[in-house]
Amino acid sequence: MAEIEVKDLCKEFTTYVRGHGLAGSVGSLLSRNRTVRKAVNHVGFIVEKGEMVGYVGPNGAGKSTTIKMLTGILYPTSGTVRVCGLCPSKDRKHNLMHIGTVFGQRTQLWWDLPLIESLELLRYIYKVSTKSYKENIERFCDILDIDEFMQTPVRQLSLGQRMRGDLAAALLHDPDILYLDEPTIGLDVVAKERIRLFIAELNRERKTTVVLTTHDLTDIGTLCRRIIIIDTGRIIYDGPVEEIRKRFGSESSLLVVFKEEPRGLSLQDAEEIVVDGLQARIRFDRRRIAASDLIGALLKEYPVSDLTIEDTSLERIIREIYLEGKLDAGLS
Amino acid sequence: MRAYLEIAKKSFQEMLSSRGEALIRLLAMLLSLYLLRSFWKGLYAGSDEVQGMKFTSMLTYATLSVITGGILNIFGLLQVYIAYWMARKMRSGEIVMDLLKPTDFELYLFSHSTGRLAFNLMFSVPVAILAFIVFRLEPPPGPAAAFLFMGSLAIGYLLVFLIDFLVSLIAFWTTQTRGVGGFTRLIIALLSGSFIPLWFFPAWARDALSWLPFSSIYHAPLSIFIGKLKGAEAMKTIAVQVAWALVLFALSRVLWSRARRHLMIHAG
Repeated sequence: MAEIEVKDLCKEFTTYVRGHGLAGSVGSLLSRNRTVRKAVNHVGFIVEKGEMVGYVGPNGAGKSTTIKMLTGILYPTSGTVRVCGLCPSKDRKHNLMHIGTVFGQRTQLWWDLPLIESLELLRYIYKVSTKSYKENIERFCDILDIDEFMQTPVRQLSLGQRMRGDLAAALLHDPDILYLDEPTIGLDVVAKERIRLFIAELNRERKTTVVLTTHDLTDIGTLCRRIIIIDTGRIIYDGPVEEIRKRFGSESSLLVVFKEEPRGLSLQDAEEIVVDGLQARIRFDRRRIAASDLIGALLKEYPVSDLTIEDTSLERIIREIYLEGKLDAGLS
Repeated sequence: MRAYLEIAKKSFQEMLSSRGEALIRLLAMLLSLYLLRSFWKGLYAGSDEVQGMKFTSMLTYATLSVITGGILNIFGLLQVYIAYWMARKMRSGEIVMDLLKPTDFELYLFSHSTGRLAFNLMFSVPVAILAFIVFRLEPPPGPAAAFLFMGSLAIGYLLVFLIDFLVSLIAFWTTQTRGVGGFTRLIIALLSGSFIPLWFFPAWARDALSWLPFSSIYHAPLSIFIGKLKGAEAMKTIAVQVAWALVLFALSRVLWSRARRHLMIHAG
């Protein structure tokens, strides 16, 4: 039996549009325009036990809303969710007992109390036995180094420390499923890497199913084999990360600022060149030409003042999938 | 159940971490005690009795009202703590983190609230003792009255919580409780007998109010304490209190399950 089963899931939010300015604001006291926004639109997927799935999309795509329905705190407008055979929104407490959740932008820790106090409380809330509580705390001290700040009030922790604390809090009761919503948001490179390593190890050793939402593609690249891409509430790709990597992984863009307008800019091996005044974006495939060669060729011909290399962004991948529809096989 | 006790303990500890605030509240409480005493002294203008109410009894009532306010919630008139808390969490989307706990949400909030109550008791009781000595107030007429007072006060606390919780659920629809919270506060202040005892109201109003839940918060326990309510009448009042607690509890269950379905979280 699949661990997570989502079928035809929809969530609509009703919002009221207010008029602009003072007149509009006063007007909206009397009459309001009701609009219904589909945050999640006929989404469906299956996750097996022990899988690690990246759930990716730009801001506002519906990632968090989906996660909130999986955890059972939001009721779906239509469609079904089954997690380990339970309906999360109807069986909220049972479902919550065997899942762990981390929202990168929020914390479940008690802000004014030392970290240890929050962990102590969770032990009672999740009815964790003294033995596994001790074992888990030891394990978290080992790999997450939370002992460094166990006695520090949470409000004084750095973002990276707090995130480690939140991970420990979410995993104290050995959940079967871990939902991570933007777990690396705002962290520096070292802290990000550390969180990724920990999650990878957790999945390998404990067979914890992980659903990870992010808009940082590096998170997915290092952690997941499977990726689900969602945009404006719809799934536009569900398949192996490898395919996305093959398709886009070798593509980069060179952002160039010229000293004077580059007339008739052309480079032999570039895929696409977009010029905008003194600036240009040159897309190229690293399998065809090395970045250094491309830059060399560019510098020989044109006066350049600044250069940046940029990897393919998620937004571009999404646009490409839409426009070219070349990954039809993976579309659900 | 252990989990809820632990939540209350953490809530208590959290209050302890803001000692400065507690000190300010303590001062505010002492100040309102002094002001209330001057107010009633002025009203009585040297006479010993007004409308069959002795000055000492009145002063006892007023003092206890301030102290009860301090115990039941932050202090004085602010009885809608949860309503403001909920609106804040709703607007920031932070409510998600509370809903993610595998606990009964109402009981979870009740534990929070009770942790604060314990903290409030800790500094209100010494103030009460001090006030009794300094103002030379009257103790309750007997052990039975003292016992009934405590029972009645406990139910009063349940009612404050339930009213507050019900008001807070409005935030699930409006994400804003400022208006309704302030209104509730005003209603409680006026109709509960916290400031002006109900026996100074006209007879029809007094009768009507004694059937409402608000009078259970201050008027019932305090009148029992000063011996104004006793015997069968006291028992009737407590029965009304219990009935209201049951009704509001049932209502809170219904409203909560509807609120949960209506939850909208846009932010993050």
